[in-house]
Amino acid sequence: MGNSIAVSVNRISKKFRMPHDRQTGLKGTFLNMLLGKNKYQEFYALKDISLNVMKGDFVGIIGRNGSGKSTLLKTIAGILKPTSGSVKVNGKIAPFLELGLGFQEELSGKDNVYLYGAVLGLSKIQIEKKYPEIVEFSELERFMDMKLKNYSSGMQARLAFSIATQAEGDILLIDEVLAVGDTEFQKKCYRHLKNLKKERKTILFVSHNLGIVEKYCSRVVYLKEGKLICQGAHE
Amino acid sequence: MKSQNNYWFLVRQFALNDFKLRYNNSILGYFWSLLNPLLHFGVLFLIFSVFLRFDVPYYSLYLLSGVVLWSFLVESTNNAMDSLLGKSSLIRKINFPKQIIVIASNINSIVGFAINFIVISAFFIVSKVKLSATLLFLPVYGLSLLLLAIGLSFFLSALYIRFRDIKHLWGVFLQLGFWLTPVIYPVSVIPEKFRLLFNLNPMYGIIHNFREIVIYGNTPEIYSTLFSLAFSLLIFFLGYLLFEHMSDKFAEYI
Repeated sequence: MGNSIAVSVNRISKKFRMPHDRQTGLKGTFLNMLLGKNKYQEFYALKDISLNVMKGDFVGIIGRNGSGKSTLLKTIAGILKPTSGSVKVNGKIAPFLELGLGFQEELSGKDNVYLYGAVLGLSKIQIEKKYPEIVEFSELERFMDMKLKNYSSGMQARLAFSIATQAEGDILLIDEVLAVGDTEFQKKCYRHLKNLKKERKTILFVSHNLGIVEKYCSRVVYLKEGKLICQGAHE
Repeated sequence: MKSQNNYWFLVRQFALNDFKLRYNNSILGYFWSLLNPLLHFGVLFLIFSVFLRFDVPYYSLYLLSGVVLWSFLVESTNNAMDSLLGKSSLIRKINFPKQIIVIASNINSIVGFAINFIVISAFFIVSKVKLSATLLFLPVYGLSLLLLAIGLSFFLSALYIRFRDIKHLWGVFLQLGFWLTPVIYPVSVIPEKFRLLFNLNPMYGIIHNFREIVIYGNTPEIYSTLFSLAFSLLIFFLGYLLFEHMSDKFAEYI
């Protein structure tokens, strides 16, 4: 594997088992086992996908809902283990997946920033240094001591993206973090994406906004029903 | 080395946040973790020293130490299960060592336990118990209890992600354990023919010997000490291995 490759996805498939009658209890599981009723519908969220992402690539991943975009990013992030195939990552990943990033509702905005930073592997000093910039970017100064459950979904999205702007990763995975937020804020986010592009960061970016993908991404990957239909360099 | 430092920060962050969340919206807050075992002790003391009487010297100390040691096991395992499930949204969105959640949760339980120990010490001073050199054995039982609690926390919380029944089952099991461990009654009450069976309970070795060395200044029983220690070690490793094995799929099942 050359040094210029950031992410190498080698023929991965991800199988989920969807029980017809989902059981999360012991009794149900045992009963079904005894009755031979553990029938699953096997469902491939990803089918034999190979993909090489070079350092500095800005890859847009598009496809309909349920086409496997999020599963692909989660597999690259190491959150899900592929059923077959392998993923090699060359560099530090900073994942920003889905709205809210897994914020803790009962904690304040500030606590959530610290917690998320810590989970991303930042040290206390690093987070303390970045905190003012995160708050400034989010424009949520007045709300940082408020519990997250009282945030609107737009505010949550703003906080999430603001944390993402301060990530210390070589490879950024961004999944629909931008979906909410007013136009002003979105403009700011896209300016930030432009800067990242200039800094030659590697970015995998899921979006339904084809205009944005066209504008920023150097490569586009199109997924359909878990299969990689086509990929190509943009421009 | 650097990333290890950062994980310590994460442990701290989880522990602090758990601490905040646990007593969220409660007026007495952290005092509850102190108050709970004390109230439990109070109820039992009322019944077993006023209504029913056991002929045990220093019975209040005997009962209090049993209740506090037992509550630690209850608290640490239940907190670990809640804590892991409570992090479900994070687990689904970032890949990080899930062991940290269980460790952080146990650190919280240990802090509560330590505070309870201060209360026990106060009772000791009031009761004018003479401490003897056998107190030096204390770390052995501390270690044994910690390994057992953390091992069970790993074991139970990993299973809990797959089967939510675990918590209910464990609740029943703890009830049974409470009455099968000499927490409130003296060991002499146990019929001779069952003594050997009682020795198979790791909490027996820990609680019984704790009282022997701390309250009565006796040398501890070697057999039950070694058994508890070995059992705790085994649970610790099995629990850890199971957790590690299952944590790959937490994001799918949680």
